[in-house]
Amino acid sequence: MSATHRNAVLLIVAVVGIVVLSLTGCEALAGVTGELAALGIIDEDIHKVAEVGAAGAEVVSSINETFTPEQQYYVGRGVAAIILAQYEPYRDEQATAYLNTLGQALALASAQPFLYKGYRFMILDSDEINAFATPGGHIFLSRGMIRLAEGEDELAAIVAHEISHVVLQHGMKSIKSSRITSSVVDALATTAGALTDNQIVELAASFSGSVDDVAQTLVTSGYSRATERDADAEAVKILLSVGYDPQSLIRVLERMKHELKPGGVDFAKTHPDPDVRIRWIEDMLQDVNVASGVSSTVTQARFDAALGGL
Amino acid sequence: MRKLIAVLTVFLVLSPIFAFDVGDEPAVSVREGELRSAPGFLARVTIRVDYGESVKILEIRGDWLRVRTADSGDEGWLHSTVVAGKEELRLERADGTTASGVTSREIALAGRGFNEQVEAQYKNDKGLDFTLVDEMEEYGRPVEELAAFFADAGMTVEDGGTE
Repeated sequence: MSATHRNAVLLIVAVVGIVVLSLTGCEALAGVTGELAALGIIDEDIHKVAEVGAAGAEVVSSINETFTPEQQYYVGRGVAAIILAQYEPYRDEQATAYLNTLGQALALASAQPFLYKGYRFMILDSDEINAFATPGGHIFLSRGMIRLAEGEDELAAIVAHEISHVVLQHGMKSIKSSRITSSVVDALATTAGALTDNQIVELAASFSGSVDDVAQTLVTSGYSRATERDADAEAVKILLSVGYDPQSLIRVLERMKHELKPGGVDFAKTHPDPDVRIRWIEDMLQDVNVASGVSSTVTQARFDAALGGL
Repeated sequence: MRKLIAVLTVFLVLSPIFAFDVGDEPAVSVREGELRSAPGFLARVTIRVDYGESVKILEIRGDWLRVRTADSGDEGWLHSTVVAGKEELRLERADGTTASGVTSREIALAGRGFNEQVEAQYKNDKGLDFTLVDEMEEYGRPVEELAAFFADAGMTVEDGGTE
């Protein structure tokens, strides 16, 4: 195939892919595509982007067809309750307020700035290196995880990764399709008439199963490498958009690498090796020039003031 | 050619992808939609609009919609991600007709599926405590504080249609 032909084919693939994306109205995926464009790899990798876009759009669109934002929020509440049955919150008003300000500010720069009940952050009183994000926007960070960060930009990198799991609906995607029987789909989709007793029983079972699927994924089994890579890519985009140096994500992963204990039940178990993540983030940042105007004096002072006692 | 592809792709990616037009009447898709005085994340919040309330789109600027609420007639700016088509939210009356014209309270009550009742049953079955979850949900920070957080450090957040 000549270069011109090849380019023409690429163009068609790109346009079809993007049109599919546009029709589904999926902001999150457009975010990923936008991120790729921003990172300058969309030109080189246009074929791949179109394919990923088309396949991914289908999945997300079926989540949105099955679950309204309100229903995703209730699944998130259930998952949050399970996590809080296993961990104690760390009671520090100043640290919690600071984390919420930082997280809610970062969320505004994401592809899903607002959720049914917003993004909310809680510190867990645990030395584990762990973090969880529910589909409802409840985000938990362990003290051990927060202690890895030496400055606001590094904490922002950790938080942006968790926000990205919510934005990209990773939690909802971990619900097994067997939870959504046709009877449940009817019960979720119909508003006319009363539910039958059978539907109510099935709905309750489906809810319980869905919450368990998400909690199991977050706490025990973890997401796939591709999913984690997507979350890192989205996090880089958020950091760039706000003005933080995305290298902060690499710095915090370097520290995580040294702190994670083999056989641990935290990120050692649920996330790809930090080295693997560092490599793909380095790839993402290859052609990115960061001219950050963020005042590190200001960010370091408020970071130390809020989290110094952690 | 390659440059053309890049330009065209970026154009398509950046073009607004939500499907609203001026005159449409979607509904608020978050618990409390924040009506702002200007099209920007850090603009003052003038009033909150409940989940399911119908709004009429008067103007579209980037990701921001100037709307009028059906219930109170208040006007202001909402981000395009906090509204959705009524079909998508399954906001219909019990007799199956669409929700426009009914009050937001009626619409909210029509919402079914995974909801408060299902959660209450789940809570009893599993013996789970939602007190801390409720507490956590009160951790929202005011928009003025987020604005100061950005401004103090010289940070930015894209302001949709204000450019």
